[in-house]
Amino acid sequence: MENNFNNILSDKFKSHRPEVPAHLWAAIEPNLPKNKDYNKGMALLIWGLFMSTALCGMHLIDVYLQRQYPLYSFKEVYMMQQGAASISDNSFQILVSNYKDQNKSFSITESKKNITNAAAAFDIENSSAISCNSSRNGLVDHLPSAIEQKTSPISSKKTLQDLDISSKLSNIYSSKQHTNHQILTASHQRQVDNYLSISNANGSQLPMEDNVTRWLSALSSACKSDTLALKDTVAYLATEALTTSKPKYAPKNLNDVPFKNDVKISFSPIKVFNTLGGVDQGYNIAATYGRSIDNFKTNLGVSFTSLGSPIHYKVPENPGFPHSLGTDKAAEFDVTNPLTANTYYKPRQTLTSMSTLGISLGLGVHKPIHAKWALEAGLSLQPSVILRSKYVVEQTYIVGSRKEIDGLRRFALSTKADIGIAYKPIKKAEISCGIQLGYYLTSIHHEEVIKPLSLGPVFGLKWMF
Amino acid sequence: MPSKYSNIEYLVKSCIRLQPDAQKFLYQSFASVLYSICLRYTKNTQDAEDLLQEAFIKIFQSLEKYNFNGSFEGWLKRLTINLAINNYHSKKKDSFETIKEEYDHYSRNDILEQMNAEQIIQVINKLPEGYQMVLNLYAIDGYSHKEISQMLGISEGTSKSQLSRAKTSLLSMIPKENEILVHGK
Repeated sequence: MENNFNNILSDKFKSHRPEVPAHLWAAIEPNLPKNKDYNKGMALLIWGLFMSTALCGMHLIDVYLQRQYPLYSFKEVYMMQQGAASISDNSFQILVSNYKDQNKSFSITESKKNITNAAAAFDIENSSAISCNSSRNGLVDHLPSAIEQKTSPISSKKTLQDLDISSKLSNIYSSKQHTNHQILTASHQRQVDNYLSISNANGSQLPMEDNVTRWLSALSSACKSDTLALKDTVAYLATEALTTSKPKYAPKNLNDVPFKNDVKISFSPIKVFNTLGGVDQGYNIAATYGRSIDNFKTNLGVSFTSLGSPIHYKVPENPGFPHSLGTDKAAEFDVTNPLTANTYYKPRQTLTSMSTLGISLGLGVHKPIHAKWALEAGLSLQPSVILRSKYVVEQTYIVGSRKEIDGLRRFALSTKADIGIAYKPIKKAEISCGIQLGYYLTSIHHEEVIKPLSLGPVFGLKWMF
Repeated sequence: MPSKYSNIEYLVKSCIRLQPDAQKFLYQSFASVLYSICLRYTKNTQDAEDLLQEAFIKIFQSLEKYNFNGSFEGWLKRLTINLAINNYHSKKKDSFETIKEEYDHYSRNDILEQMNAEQIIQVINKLPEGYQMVLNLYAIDGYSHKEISQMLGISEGTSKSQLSRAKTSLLSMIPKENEILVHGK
């Protein structure tokens, strides 16, 4: 009778599932432990995107500045330089003072006569054979070489009006005193660059040919006219030099500095494919010290790897399960409940978690492909100690009765290969991004052959000295 | 379509990592079965809700202790029952009063069989707390007298006698057959 009583009660409540008041979760949820680290992955991603964007932005700014101010670095651009142009009755002079490097200061003095001769020579159509009477290092010395490069006929009939510079001149000229030596002060670095390009004896930095045409036309007109026109012309020359000439981009080569030592930190989120078919995930962090000889390098460091994720399941071949489940166990599960019913899925054998700490011995290649970019490739060998491990070796149908056997070895030997691209925002630092492939050379299990293969992106930060 | 949390181990590990969606999924999956326990071990729905709330907070705090051996649902039930027992200890006053009534065991068992779980809970809730505990633990949740004696801090003999009295009280309190038919849900 007692058993009957117990059975009645027990049966009544076996499948009793009362409706839970809806407000309860709202009351429970605020009291649950909160994960402040839950969005760590997202934060890391955002941080990575932010840093990438910032670096790309810095690079673009750098490219722009190098185009604008090719002779100077980012900081030097903001050094104030000064240029001036002056004219007298018989000659004109362009002065450039470089406060930072006096070797770059220079002056060009040329007689009006020589300018006139040069302009006259330029008047000849198909002027490839033009020679110039200039005798000193000055503007007109370089005109022939520029003119010789020109293949199409050049019009010599252009005047200041043709060039539509009257408004430019008036703006500049109106602010200056009308003296015999009209001085135009140029306070911007680009002016200096362009003046320098005029004075370059090799002619490699000469202004564009169109500018030469206009310069000659303007000089020719000015030399034939009154003093005021000549003053205007000199002012025009300065203005044109400032505004029209765009020297070729010549970025600084940051890869030519022969640093011998470096320290690198790298992080790699990895997917792990073990030999039994499981898929796992984890991460690798490494810190290495490297020595370089030309483009080759050796490195030594420590590497920490952590693998760990939920076991992955596959649907059983016979969905009509649980036919092979013991009745005592079956009673513990409610097959009508989608959650507990799914626990009958057959688990794959897979690595569940493992942490290793090892010494990384590596060889690498660092090949510059640009002023700031380089290709990198490396191969490393890594003897490791397995710090923590957990491995599922027995397949059962019930999650709760899965058996865990500690059959892992204490030591492992793995190898890693990586290839990527590196960018140097500054001389001594380098960031890199690439792909890393890892493989365990020795089985990590005593009895079974388990040699996980890992694959994932790798991000690095290197400091050279 | 099975959720990504259908795998208990994944669900538990996600909850250990304090992922909010996993926590909610666990609650939604097991709230009902635990609420049933809470209703049996308390005196009214308000107390049951409080116990369920307390149980889930305790569960989420204790998930790391779950070693994946045995049924997860069983583990949750045990934890909830233990919590109910703790609550019982904390406000323990004795309530093993005897209810004397003459009745026919066999006919009462028949009536009991006709009652649904909610109606039985209503009757159980009217029992003195000590009786209610022993009855729930032994008759419904399957604990032995030895286990009950350890859980409640009483002797095995006391557990047995209280169970007997609990059954007597319960059967004496169940409505007559015609009342079940009239008021039954």
